[in-house]
Amino acid sequence: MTEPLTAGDGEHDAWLREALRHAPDASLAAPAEVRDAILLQARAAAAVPAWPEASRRTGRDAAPWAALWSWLARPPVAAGFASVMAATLVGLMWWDRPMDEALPQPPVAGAESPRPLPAAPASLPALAAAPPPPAAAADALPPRPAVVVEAARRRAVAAAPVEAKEEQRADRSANTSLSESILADNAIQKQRQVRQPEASDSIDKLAAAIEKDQAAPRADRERGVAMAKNETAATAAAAAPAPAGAMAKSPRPSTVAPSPAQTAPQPFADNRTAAADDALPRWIADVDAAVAGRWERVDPPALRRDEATAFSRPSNGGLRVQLAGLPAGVLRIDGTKLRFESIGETPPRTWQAELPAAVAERLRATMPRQPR
Amino acid sequence: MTPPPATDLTDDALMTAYAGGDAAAFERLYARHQAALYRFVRRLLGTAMSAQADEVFQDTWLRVVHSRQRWQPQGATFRTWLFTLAHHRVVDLLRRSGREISVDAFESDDGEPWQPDTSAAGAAWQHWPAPAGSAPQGEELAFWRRAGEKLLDCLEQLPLPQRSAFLLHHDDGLALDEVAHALEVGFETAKTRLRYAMSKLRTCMGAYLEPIHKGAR
Repeated sequence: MTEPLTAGDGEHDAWLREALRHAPDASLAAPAEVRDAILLQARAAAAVPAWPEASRRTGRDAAPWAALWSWLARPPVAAGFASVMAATLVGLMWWDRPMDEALPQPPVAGAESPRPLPAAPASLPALAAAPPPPAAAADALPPRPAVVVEAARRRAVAAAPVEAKEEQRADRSANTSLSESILADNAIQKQRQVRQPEASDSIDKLAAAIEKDQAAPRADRERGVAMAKNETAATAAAAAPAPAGAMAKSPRPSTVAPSPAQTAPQPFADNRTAAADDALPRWIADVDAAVAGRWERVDPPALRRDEATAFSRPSNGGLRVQLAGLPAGVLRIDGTKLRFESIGETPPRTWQAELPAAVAERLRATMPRQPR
Repeated sequence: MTPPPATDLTDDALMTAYAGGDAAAFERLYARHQAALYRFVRRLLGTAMSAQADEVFQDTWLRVVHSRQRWQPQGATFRTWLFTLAHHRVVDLLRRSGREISVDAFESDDGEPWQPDTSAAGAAWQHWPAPAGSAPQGEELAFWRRAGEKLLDCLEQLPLPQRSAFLLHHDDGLALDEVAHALEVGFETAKTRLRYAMSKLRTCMGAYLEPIHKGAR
C-alpha cells in the first residue's frame, strides 16, 4: 500500500499534475499548415523595417508624431480615417449642387433618341409626333411650337389607321413644316365630312352665335368662326374621336372611340390660337418663310430693359402656342423682331428673329388674334 | 565577448530581437512555447469547440507578430503575456458563440455558494499511487493515462475562470501572481479560483476513493 501522501500545498496538486502529463492531448501540437502560416507572416513582418527607436523609447523620449503615426497605422483607425476622407470628398463633389442634377433622369417617354435639330431653324416644323426635345438640344433652337390642331391630329392617328398612315407619312419627314402638316390634315378631314352631320350643325350654330356677338371686322369674324369651330371640334373630340388637324370648311369628327389622351381635359381650352382654319396655316407658312435661318437664342438678361418691359405687357400681337396640349410659349412680333418665349420654365428661354420691316408688319397684320 | 547561444536567450531578449527584424528569434520563441500554448487553448475551449483551437492559436501568435513594435518588457514575462492573449481570444470566441462566461469563482454550477472541501484536504489521494517522478512504466503508465482522460472530462465541467487558473498553474507552470496577471484579476481571486478548481477536480477524480487499478477511470 502506498504511503499516504499529502495532497500537496494549497496551490499545487501533484496527482492532478501527473494526470495532466499523461492526458491524451499532452503531446498535441498545432498542425503544420498553421505553423507554416504563422512563421510566414512573422518573417514577412520582420522584413518590414520597424520603427525601432521611436517605438521603444519611453514616454518621455518618444516623439509625439511617432506615437501618432503608430496610432494611425492601426487598421481600425486607418479604415475609419479613410471612410471620413471618402465621405468628405463625396460631400465636396456634391456641394451646392441641385438635387435634380444628381438624380438620374428618367427616360423621356416616346423618344428613343433625340431628334437631331438643325443649327438654323428654317421653319416652325410640326412636332405633334415628337415629344419635347431635351433641354440641351433645345438650347440651340427655339422649341417648335405646335398648335392644338396637332393634338387633335394625334387623336385621329390613334383612332383611324388610314389617317394614321397619312399622319405618319407627314410626321416622318423631319423638314415637314407646320403649315404643310396642317394642310395635309385638312385634306384628310375633308374626306370625313359626311360622317357626322350633327357636329356640323352644332358648329354652325355656335359660329352663328359668335358671329352675332362679335362686332369685328369681317376678317376677324372669319377667324373667330374658325376658332369657334375648332373649339367645338375639340369639345366633340372629348366626347367622340375628334378629327386631327384643321377643320377647314366643315370639320367632321371621326367615329372612332377616343383614347384617354383625347378625352383628357385640355388646358387653355379657350386658346383659340389652335384654330385650324385656312388663315392660320397660311400665316404659319408665312412665318416659316420669313424667319428661315434667322432664329437665334436670346436669353432674358440680353434683352434691354425697354424690350423686356414691352414683352411683359399683354401683347395684342401675341400668339400662345401649345405643344401636345400643353402651353409651350408665346409668339410675339415687336417691331421688326419676331420672338418666341417659352412658358413654364424658369428662366424662360427666348428666341428671336430679325425680320424686314415690311415682312414684320405683314405678319403682324395677318396674325390670328386671340379673343379676349 | 561572444553573444550567448540562442538557446540561452530569454524570451524578452528574443522578442526584442524579433522586433528589431530578426525572424529567427521569433521562430525560437514559437518553438519554445507553441506546444504549451496549443494545449492550453485546446483544453480551455473544451471538446465542444475544439475545432476553433487552430484559429485561436494562430490569432494569438499573429497578435504577437503585430505587436512586436509596441512590445516592451514590463512586469509580466513574455510567456504570461502570450497566455494572456490566448485567454482573451478564447473568452471572445466563447462570448460570440453565446456561452455564458461565469466570472464568479464563488459559485458552483448549480448556483449554490460553493464551499471548499477542507475536511478532506488531508485525505485526498491517500489510496492513489504516488505521482511518478520519472516516466511510469507498465500498469502505472496505463493508470495515469486513464487518470488523464478522466481529468480532461472533469476539466470540461469546471467554469472557465477556474479552468483557466488551474491550467495556467498546473500545466503551464505559471506562478500564482502570473496567473493573476494573465487572468487580469487580483492575486487573492486567482488563488481562490485555483483552490476551488483543485477541490472540484479532486472530487471528480475520486481522490477520496480507492482507485480501481484495472479499468480505473
